[in-house]
Amino acid sequence: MSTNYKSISVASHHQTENLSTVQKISLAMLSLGGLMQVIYWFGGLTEAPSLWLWPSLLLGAVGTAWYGYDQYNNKIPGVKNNGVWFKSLTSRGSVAWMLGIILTAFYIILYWFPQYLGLGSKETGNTGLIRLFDPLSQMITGHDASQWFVYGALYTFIIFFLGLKFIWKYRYNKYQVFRTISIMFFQTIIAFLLPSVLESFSLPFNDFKNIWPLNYYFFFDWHIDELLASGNFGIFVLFWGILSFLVLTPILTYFYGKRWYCSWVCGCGGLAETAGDPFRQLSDKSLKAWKIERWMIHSILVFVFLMTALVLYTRFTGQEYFLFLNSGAVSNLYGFLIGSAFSGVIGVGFYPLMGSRVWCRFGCPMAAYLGLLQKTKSKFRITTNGGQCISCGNCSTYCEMGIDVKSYAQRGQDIVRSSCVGCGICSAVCPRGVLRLENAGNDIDKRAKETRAMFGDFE
Amino acid sequence: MLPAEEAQMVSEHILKHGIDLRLESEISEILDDGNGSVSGVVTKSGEHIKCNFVGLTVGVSPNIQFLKESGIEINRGILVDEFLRTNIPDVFAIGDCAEIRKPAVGRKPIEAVWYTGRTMGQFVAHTVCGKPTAYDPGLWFNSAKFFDIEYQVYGEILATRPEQTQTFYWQHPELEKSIRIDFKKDTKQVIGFNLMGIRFRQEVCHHWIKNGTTINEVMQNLALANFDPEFYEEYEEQIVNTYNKEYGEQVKHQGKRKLSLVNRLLSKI
Repeated sequence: MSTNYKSISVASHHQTENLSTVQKISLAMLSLGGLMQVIYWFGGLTEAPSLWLWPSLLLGAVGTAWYGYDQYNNKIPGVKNNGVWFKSLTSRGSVAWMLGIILTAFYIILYWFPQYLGLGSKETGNTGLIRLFDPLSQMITGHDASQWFVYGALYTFIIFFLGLKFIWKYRYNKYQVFRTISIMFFQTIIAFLLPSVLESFSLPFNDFKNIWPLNYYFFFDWHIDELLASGNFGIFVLFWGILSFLVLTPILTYFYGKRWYCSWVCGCGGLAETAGDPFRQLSDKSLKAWKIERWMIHSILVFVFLMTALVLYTRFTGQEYFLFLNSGAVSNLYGFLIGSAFSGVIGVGFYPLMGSRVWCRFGCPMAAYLGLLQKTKSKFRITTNGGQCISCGNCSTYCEMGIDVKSYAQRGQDIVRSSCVGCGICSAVCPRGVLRLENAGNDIDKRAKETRAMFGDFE
Repeated sequence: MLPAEEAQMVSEHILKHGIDLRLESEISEILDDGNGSVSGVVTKSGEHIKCNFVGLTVGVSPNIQFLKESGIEINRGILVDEFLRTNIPDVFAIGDCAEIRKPAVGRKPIEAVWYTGRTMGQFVAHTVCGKPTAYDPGLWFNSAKFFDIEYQVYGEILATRPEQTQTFYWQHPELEKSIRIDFKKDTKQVIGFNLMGIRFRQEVCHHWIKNGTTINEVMQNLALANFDPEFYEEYEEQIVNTYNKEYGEQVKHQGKRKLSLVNRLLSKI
């Protein structure tokens, strides 16, 4: 009782929340599951992968779900972000840096050195981590695993089980619950199981929700050839791909904003909203970051259009060069720089340092396209509730896209921003019920532009 | 001050959060631990409570003693006129240190509330920028959050209700959610909304109050005020049923709460 506190903050001065027994057990299970995979990987093992894979997945699943459940179960429903700036993992501490380095290293190996994951040839077979996933791959696709199968499986696993944790955290908020169920569905069924099943029927791998230009290889020669060689199904996929970009996306975005894709359907968004949730506060809110964001994301949009135009030019004319541009070289450059380095290595590897939406905010050409539609032709906005904002800044803090929501809300202005993915967290964390995501066409320009909180009574 | 039902809800919520809330008890003594720090308190009933931190919150009063010799006229706060000017030219005072000489009807001379401070700031900015504008606090509104319960108030909701005011109160049977609408006994015009755990649109509530809308009409269109996030459960049907039962009315709730309908309402004068 003799501790003499220097700070008079009512909030905890140090991390006092100890792990509960359940959390210790579940963390141990989760770690054991992970450790089994790491041992199998680094030991370069090949024997009895089933004996390692299923227990490790089970331990990981139960451990993650149980931990997430226990973390929020005994708490009164409400916003639970206590202590995010005190924990090393969520405040760019040493743990965050370590995780960032590990994730980045994993992505580098995945994209450019899959042999270190244990990728073998048809004759030699896989070893290590990829061998570990052979049984699962055999079950779903009918053949041995590739590095992409392993990545897809782990990715889906993480979205699903950390999705459960997220749902439990926001169980009182139906928007968050429905949105997360949608993300889990699209990742598990549409992005992971369906393409694998297609492969088992010797049809081309296809993720129906991965729309060009996010799916930058859609118009590549090998992909079009593959589709054209697979009969009616291939034609359907080609048709669907063009339709979803040209018709579906503008229509859905007109009615609901880009959120229908970015925080309800997309896999990159899915990972950001589940695994990335503890890091959302790390996004940069400065005007400078916003400026860089606009230059960068729109440059990449131009890049993907040019690159695709070049590739199609080559396809139809047979000319490899357009002026001095070699279509093969340009598309390889795009694949390396944007497709792999940006979306994977930086996009996920930097979660613990720059927040969960680095790729979506600075890099994704689909987000840029959706953003242009949202800004110019959409009913979606975040409504500000009159003059109720108290400038606490929770909305800005937890905006994963780095939008300074507060600066609009405190002026009573509705928010129409091309980068908003409509995750709804600003509205959830607002302590005064100031923000509401909604769709309505009339008066949107007036409400978004005028300063409406004037004189408390907004008149 | 909250009406009794809402106060009860908040008290129970505070207890749920593990805070040992003692109503109707008072501190009589703060004990020293011998090193200049606090070691505990003694209540009026003689109970000794150990602690190492004491926070006293006995209301807010302006800390303006340093202005005593300045020539600026002060009372409990810094006295200002309707343009928020002190008695000295080009010196203004706003916020919870300012005391309005002639406050608007129903308003206090000093309001230690965020919204009042901000609103005054907007007015004084107009005035100092060469567009003298008299301070008009507008309709009263406020908000707070008691741990996880959000609270909003629009218009006049008094803890001790005057004779000529009637009240309608609905509380969720299990969750910490309630709405209260006060209205005039004779004309049935609504004068105030009190929300716990449910979000209402400020503009719609203000529109109804300003236009002297009757409680029946408000009930009929209640969903227009709903500001809860999408997919949240809507309680309007239940609320209107409760109202009909209590007041022997036959109001039919007209569902739907699309923003375009809200905008249509607000564009009417």
